[in-house]
Amino acid sequence: MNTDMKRHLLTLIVLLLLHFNNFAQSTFELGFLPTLNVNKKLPKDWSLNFKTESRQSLIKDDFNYDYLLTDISLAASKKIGINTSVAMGYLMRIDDEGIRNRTIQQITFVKRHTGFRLSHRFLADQTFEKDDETEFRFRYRISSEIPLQGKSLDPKEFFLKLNNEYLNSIQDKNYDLEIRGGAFLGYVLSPKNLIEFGLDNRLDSFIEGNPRNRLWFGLNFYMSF
Amino acid sequence: MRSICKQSDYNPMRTILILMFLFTLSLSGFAQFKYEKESRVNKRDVPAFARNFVDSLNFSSKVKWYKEIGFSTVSFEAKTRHKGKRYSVEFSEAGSFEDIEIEIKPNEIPSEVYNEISNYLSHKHINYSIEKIQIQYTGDANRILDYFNNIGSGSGLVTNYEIVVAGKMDGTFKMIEYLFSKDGSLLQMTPITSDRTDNIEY
Repeated sequence: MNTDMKRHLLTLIVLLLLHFNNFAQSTFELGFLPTLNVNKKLPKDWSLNFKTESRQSLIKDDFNYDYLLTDISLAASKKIGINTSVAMGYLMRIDDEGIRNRTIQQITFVKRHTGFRLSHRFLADQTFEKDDETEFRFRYRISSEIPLQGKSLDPKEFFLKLNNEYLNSIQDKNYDLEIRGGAFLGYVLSPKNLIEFGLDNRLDSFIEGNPRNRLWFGLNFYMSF
Repeated sequence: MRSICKQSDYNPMRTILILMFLFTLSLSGFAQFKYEKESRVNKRDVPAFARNFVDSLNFSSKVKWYKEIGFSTVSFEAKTRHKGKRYSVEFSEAGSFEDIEIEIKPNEIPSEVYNEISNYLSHKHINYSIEKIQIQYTGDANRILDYFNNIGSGSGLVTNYEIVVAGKMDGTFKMIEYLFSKDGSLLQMTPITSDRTDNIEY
């Protein structure tokens, strides 16, 4: 092993130790995050997307099942280029405290490469709460979809989906950054239906205060018609 | 009385014929689109002629084999990188040679041919982008082998350009595969069925 490699290995070990040390001080939550996603194609490159997601906590310090919330959203999307689409939508969040409303605007670029597809999503959302200031978020997500059989994804084939998202949040002059990372194994059931399951890790509040680390078991079902 | 007349006019054979006609129309609608289900296969599952043909081309990198199932055809395809370019060699289900395609850049097409192709595409689409260009060689398998092993002159081989274009057509964005001859004349146009993107968009 040459000196350069030793130095890189040492840096990697130190970074990993720091990372785990951070986690040790953070609050940790483990839960279940099933999602149903329905997409309806409309003429002239328009489409409608309906999504519902439920968040359930399984472990927060101790094992303790807790239903947290349900999100229901509807978005209208228009293709403005072969690889580009814009969407606007509304999300309703239902939890113990009541209902919160969120408006969403996004632009997505999907690029097909040999052997995988890459998507860049820029999203802005505004969450309106009854007794709180409006929260503004600016998000960027990169997703890749890698077919595990062949160079393109076809029915009855498995694929791997990897996500990394950065969420900048501003609420009442307070800034926070959330970093999400996800790894999913997917299967194309038919040209209209696909299913994914995997892990979605979300880390926030690490700029000020104790970091909050949440790990979700995700189960996503996509339908299109 | 009217209903009795209607009943007597009813011809089940005509209904079957209409249904068969509509079914045929729907199938021909599918056939106009390019659809391929591609899956990786082992070299040993490929017909011997195809294996030997690719071995004779002496590619420098590892060759990956795929089975492609279209609406009405099955084929085998060998893919590799050689001298910095992506090669794909296609064979029928029985293993007979069909074509060799090599990915190239626009400036590798003779300028007068490229202008001819660009003119055609500009008339067809208001805005378009070229996603992929491949030079395609078809012809006698032995002559192809000689040509690629620098033995033959390439006479008798047919050279075409396969170009995948993304553009707006009939009011919607589409991917279209065009096949142009060596001199830039259009030979074939096939829309490519669009793949779903909802799971990486939402």
